[in-house]
Amino acid sequence: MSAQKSERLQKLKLLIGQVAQSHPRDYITAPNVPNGIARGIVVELLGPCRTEWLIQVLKLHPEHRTFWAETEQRILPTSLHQRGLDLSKITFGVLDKNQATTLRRIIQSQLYQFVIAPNTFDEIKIFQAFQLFTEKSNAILFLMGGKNPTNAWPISTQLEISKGRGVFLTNEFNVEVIKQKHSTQDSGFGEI
Amino acid sequence: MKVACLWFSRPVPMQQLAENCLRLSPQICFRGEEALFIEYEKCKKIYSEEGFFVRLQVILRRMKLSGRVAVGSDVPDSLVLAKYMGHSVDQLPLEALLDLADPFNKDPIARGYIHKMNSAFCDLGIKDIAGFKKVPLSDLISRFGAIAVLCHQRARGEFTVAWPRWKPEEIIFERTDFPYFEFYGELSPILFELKKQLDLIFQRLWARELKAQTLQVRIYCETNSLNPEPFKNFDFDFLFAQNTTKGALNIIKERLAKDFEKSPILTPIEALSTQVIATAPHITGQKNFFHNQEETAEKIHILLSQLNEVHGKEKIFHAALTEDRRPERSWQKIIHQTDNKLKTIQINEKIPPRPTYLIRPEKIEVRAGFIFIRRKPFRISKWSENFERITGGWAEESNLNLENQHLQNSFDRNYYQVELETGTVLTIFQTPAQSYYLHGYFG
Repeated sequence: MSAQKSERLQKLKLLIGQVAQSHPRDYITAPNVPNGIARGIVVELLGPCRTEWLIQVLKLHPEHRTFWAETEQRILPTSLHQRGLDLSKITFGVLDKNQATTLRRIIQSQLYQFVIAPNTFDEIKIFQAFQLFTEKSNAILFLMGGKNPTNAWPISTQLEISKGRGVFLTNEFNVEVIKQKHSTQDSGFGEI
Repeated sequence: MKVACLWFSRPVPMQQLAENCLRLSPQICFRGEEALFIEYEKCKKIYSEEGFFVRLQVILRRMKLSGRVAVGSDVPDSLVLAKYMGHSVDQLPLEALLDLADPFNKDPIARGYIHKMNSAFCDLGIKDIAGFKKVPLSDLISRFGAIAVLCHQRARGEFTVAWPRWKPEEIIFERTDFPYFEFYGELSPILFELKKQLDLIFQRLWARELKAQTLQVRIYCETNSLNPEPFKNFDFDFLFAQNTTKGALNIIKERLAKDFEKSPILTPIEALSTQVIATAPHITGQKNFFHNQEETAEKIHILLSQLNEVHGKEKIFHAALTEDRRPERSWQKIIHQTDNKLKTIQINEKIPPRPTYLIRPEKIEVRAGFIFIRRKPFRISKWSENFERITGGWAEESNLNLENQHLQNSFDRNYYQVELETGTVLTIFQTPAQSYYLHGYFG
């Protein structure tokens, strides 16, 4: 029975893979992520070096606009400039209420290619909405997660980023892929 | 020509007064907030001179204003008669030459020359206009030049003054009445009507190459004991001037929805009006075929205005660097980023790497290879070899309210970078009182 189930599941996966292949995704380069990150998805970032890594991702794509949302103002724009980001391309937002609605509106506007926000959501419906809107607008929503990865299927990629061993203030990162749909550009579907 | 001049010893709302006086004559002009001129002879078939003054008194009484009125053959005549309370120009003191030569008070250089001329005539014993008029013109030219000739001509009434153009300010206003009490305090029908009004308003603004900066929406309600106020006003000062119904309506919708939730209207709505209070210039031209930067900027402005309405002022912003070396003051918020080119300051070689996150300084303890944050110990694995010293004098206020600071309006900090066993790198600073504060961390 279980063998039949897994066989059926495999067939379904192949079918979804074919659909995904018919609409090939666009990928952006990211440090220490060999195949890059697909556009139009929700990515959850974990680990102590996630912001530093994310800044390096933004640095690789200077032409893109970014909306950086926080619940209280903590990010230091001076540090972003020091790490090579163009501050005129970044809009900061301190969203202490209506976060989901505001993020949805920002993604829907299709004006920002990168949207960064703290992961304060627990309803699967909200993640689902984010997934649909990011897919439609071809933007990437980076959610800054807590200690543990969120168990929500609409989050396509979860990365845990830590610092390279034995180095003090560096751009070398250890990126552990916890979950990644659209993992390779060839197959179009997969999960690690 | 008969010109009535109203002279006020205190500043008055002249635009408003001039608009009220338009019913008396179309030829009106004013000098600052002190004098109003009305040419009324051309309207003599409509009302008599007595009727004119009675009407003028009624207007002043309604506006609770009091001033002096004098009639002259021209603007300078009527002005000096009203200002110096004289019956004839000849009897007026020499100072009146200032107003005769420059009735609209727009030429400070000429006024300077006239002052000098007046003091010279006073020394010669000439103290009124009649005496000044007796001086031969040839003597005036040789001693005081062209300005004396102008004063002479004005005193003799030989030279008329051009009236500066004044027209009342244009008001863009739309109103819809609901005579049959079609709906109560529901939001959707109001928005439906509002969209129609905004469509008309933005068409009118577009034709004038303008954008709406400030709008006022007024909802008129039936009054009763529960709702004593006859109307509700909503003033919208947009973050970026709006030129489309879609953008403005979304912002208005946010505010109305919030207000209706908090204090719903319980009585029938009688009317709805929208008025443009302030405008900004807008370039209406052919769309650029080669790029869509303008359209994108327009979309960003609409989105930011909406977010600003939802989250409040200064919550959505851009950032620009400052030249202050303190981390908390090394940047500033830019609310109106009109163009993408902000002032760039090169700081990379001047200061060590700043932490990605900055927090309000929190007192910590450092002892025996541990950092105690909120009494919780964290083992230190690395301590930076160098430190950064940031000091300032009494003139530079420290916005950090630190304990044990020996001088209230100064700061003296030694910054260190510390790596914890967990891998987190912190930025801490030490004060002269040997206290440690956590100020930021690398994320």
